[in-house]
Amino acid sequence: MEIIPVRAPALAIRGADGGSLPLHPGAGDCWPLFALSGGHPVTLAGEWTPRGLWPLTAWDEAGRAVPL
Amino acid sequence: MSEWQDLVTASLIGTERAEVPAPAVPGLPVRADAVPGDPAALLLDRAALLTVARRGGTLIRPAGSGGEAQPLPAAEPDPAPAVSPAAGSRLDRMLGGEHPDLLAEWLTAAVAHSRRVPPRLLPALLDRVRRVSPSDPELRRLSAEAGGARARWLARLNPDWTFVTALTESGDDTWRLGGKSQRRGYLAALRARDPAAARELITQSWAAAGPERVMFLSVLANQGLSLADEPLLEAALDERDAEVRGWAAHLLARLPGSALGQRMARRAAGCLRIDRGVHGARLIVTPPADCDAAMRRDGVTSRRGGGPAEMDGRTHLLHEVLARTPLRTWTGQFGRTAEQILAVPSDAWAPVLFTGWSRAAMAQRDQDWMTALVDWALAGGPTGTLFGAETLRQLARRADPARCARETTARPAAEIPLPIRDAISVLRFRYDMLKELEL
Repeated sequence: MEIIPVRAPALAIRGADGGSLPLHPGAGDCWPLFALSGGHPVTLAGEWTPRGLWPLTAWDEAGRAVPL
Repeated sequence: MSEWQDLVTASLIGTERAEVPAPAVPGLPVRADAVPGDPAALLLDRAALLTVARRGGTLIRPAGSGGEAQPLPAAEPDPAPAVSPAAGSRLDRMLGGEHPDLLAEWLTAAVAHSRRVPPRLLPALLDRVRRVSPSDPELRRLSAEAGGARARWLARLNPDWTFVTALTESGDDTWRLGGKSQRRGYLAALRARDPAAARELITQSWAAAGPERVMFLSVLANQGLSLADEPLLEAALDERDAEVRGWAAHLLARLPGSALGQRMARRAAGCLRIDRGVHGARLIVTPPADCDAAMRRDGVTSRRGGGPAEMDGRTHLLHEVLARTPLRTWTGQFGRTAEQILAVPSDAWAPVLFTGWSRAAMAQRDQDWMTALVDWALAGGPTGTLFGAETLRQLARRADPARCARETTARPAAEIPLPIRDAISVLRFRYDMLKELEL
């Protein structure tokens, strides 16, 4: 899905409609995901768990898969 | 959680005596009304339903439901493109521990080609630079530059990485009011933009600088050192602080055209000559007799501190003088190229000549000599001593890998000594690395 990762009030991803889903607390800082996004929408695949989304792979501007 | 506990409690008490709780499952209507049938089965059904619901995943919080996610400001676009995918994956490996000492060279080449670090690698790069940068402030500047707009954006989110923005967003106030590392960052950035302005600033601030003079000189060392810096450095040779004097002598020795270089050339000229005997040419070596005050002023140390333990006093002096003598002294005096000079047999002196000339070649950034010295070493030259092996290690990290031999033909693969094998692997790594950064 196309999302924008956000940091406040907690680490989460935000969809185009403004809905948000927390990132899994065990996934850590997720800095590479934030670096990849730079505040812009990014395509992300992850595991939707009971505690939040565990990010697995994102795609950069060139369309290359980046394992997170 | 409490809903699950309620179910557990009810099951422990027994459905004959406890009422079966009705847990709320998001998205499903709560069925609190009495359900006909076996209460035990009902309890198990509800436990099963709750288990599935809890394993199902977090719900999306819709917009406008309070506690909303705050969008981040978007990073401004960076006009410079990222490096090639091959260069990116090599940087990834380097950050993972493969030849991490070559990181500065990778970044320098990326900056030189106006390319950016791939965003996904920025967090690992900035973390690494933060950990090592007190000993290497130049690495901070390089990573901030190669990181571009995205690195500045990240630095605003993570206080650990503020050094990125501290360097790029510093104004004149930083120089007047900042701490030592901020002042260093300001000066280094100025030096990168305008070497003459940085030199002017150092000259103005010199008298009042005190212990910061060493920092000034280390900034000069990193970038744009030229003969224009010589008057400042020559004056610093007479400073009281031994560390300042040492830095000044070290920097002057890097400038083959400096007065210090000419003084060294005069001292060195008598030490080496080529004797054309009946058995072919030989290099005859006469080390300097002693170390006078003028030599000490130029940074020559008479003691063995820092030098290899196996050298006696005069050999050490020869090594010190050779390391500071402009290399064109030798090509001029002998009328031969670096390669031809190294091909002249020098017998037992070869290890001293190798390390002395190598230090000179690295200090003077002389690629002709570095290439010739690496080729000499890989062809079985004198790297047998500990000092020789360390010298080759450094040469392999500075010589232009495109010009050097990157393999040894001197002996069978199994017998290649470790220092040579290491040098070959470093040269090949750098060759590929620099090629990828040109893509």
